[in-house]
Amino acid sequence: MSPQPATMEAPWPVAELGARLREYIDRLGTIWIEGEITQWGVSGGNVYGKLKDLEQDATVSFTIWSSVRSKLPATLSQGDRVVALVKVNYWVKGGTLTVQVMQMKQLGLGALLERIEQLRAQLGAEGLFAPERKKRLPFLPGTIGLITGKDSDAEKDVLRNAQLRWPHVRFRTVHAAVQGERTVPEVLSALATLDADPAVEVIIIARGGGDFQNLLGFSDERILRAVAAATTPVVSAIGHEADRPLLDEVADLRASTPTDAAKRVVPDLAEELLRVDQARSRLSQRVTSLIQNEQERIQQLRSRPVLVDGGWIVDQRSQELTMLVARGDELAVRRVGDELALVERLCAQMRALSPRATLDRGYAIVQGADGGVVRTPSDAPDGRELVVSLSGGRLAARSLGPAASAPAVPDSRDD
Amino acid sequence: MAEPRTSDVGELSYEQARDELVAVVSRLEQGQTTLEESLALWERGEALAQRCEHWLIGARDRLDRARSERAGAEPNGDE
Repeated sequence: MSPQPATMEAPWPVAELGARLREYIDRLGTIWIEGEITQWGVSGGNVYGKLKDLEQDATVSFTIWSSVRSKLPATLSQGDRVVALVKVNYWVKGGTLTVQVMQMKQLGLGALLERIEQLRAQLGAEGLFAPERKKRLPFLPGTIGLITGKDSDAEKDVLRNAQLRWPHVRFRTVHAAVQGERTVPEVLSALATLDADPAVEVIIIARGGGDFQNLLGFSDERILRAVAAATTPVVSAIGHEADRPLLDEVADLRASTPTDAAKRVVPDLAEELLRVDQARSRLSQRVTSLIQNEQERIQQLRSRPVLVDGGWIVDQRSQELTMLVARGDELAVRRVGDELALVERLCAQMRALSPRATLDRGYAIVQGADGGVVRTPSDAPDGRELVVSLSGGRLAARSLGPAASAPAVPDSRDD
Repeated sequence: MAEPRTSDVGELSYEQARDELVAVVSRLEQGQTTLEESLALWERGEALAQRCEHWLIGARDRLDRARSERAGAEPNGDE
């Protein structure tokens, strides 16, 4: 029979609360749970450990009695991701809760990979792996942030190789766990610290490879989202070629090893000096050939006949003048000749029309003393002085008046 | 005769002088100019050609000077 609801006036005894809790917990029966073993201690053949949630901050203690332990895989150890069949007990007397493990098995590699693939697909769909969102690394970073395990080979490799390439390179290193349950919180904290430092221009997350399960933290969604959200470029140098963690996909640059990360982030001083020298040499050659080409071009222009010597300008005009004078002479001579021919033609015409021609045929012109031509006998009365023009000259005469008869005048057609 | 305008040639950049020189040669070769214009053009062409040559000689000198300075600045093996 269930007691009355507890009030201040009628409170439950502690035993009642304990009994209620036990009753409720017993109803759970046996259940399968999943987590990561973060503590595994053996005492008197029994195992006392802790199981942590894979994503959230939640932990539960568990016990494996020796009778059960003998049936479990001997390889189980701290850091393993497992599924366990458990029975939860509440001990009323001590007010304690125990989780008793009945079965436990490591999460299969297939299951883990499947989870990672699901996360890969989800983050890919969100565009976290898109090349266009990847930030460019600075050519020579002022300070390089390094997240790695304390005194690890990865740390030594990065520092040594970077300094070999550029002796004055500066690092700010923040140590973090790179495997196990502390990986995610410590890497997140280190990333936040370095990303907030304005001097840090690039961040390397380095670890020297390792077992796939040890690298699971670098496929954790929280780290991946933090890297994607960082304002500083992040280089992933986890050094695991097969089953690469998702950090490689989200990072702005993936390096195959910590050594490779140093080479990708820090330019080689000697190489760069050589490159500068080569560029200088090419520049010099280019400018020299440019000047040479231009000099040849100007030389070609200068050697064009019109520029060689300005004399041609005057010579050309002088020739034109000589030709014009010669042409003028020629035209003048031709014109005079033409005029002479015309005059001769006119003279011939004049001669043809002149009375002289008539006189040459035996005719005469009779003029009075006043010069008037005598045309009829009445124009020359008796005693009038006359001038007779003949072909051979002129003679003086006096009229005797009209003649009784005269010789016949020859017809001009008979001439 | 018209006074040829050559006083401004010294203020022209190399490219300006060269391009104008090409234009002057082209105009002279076309032969569509008066005697006075031809002479003025020829004188300008001569001034432009000199400007270009001086500029290029100067450029070559600058290049040689930079090279010798660099050679002087580079440490020798025995230093």
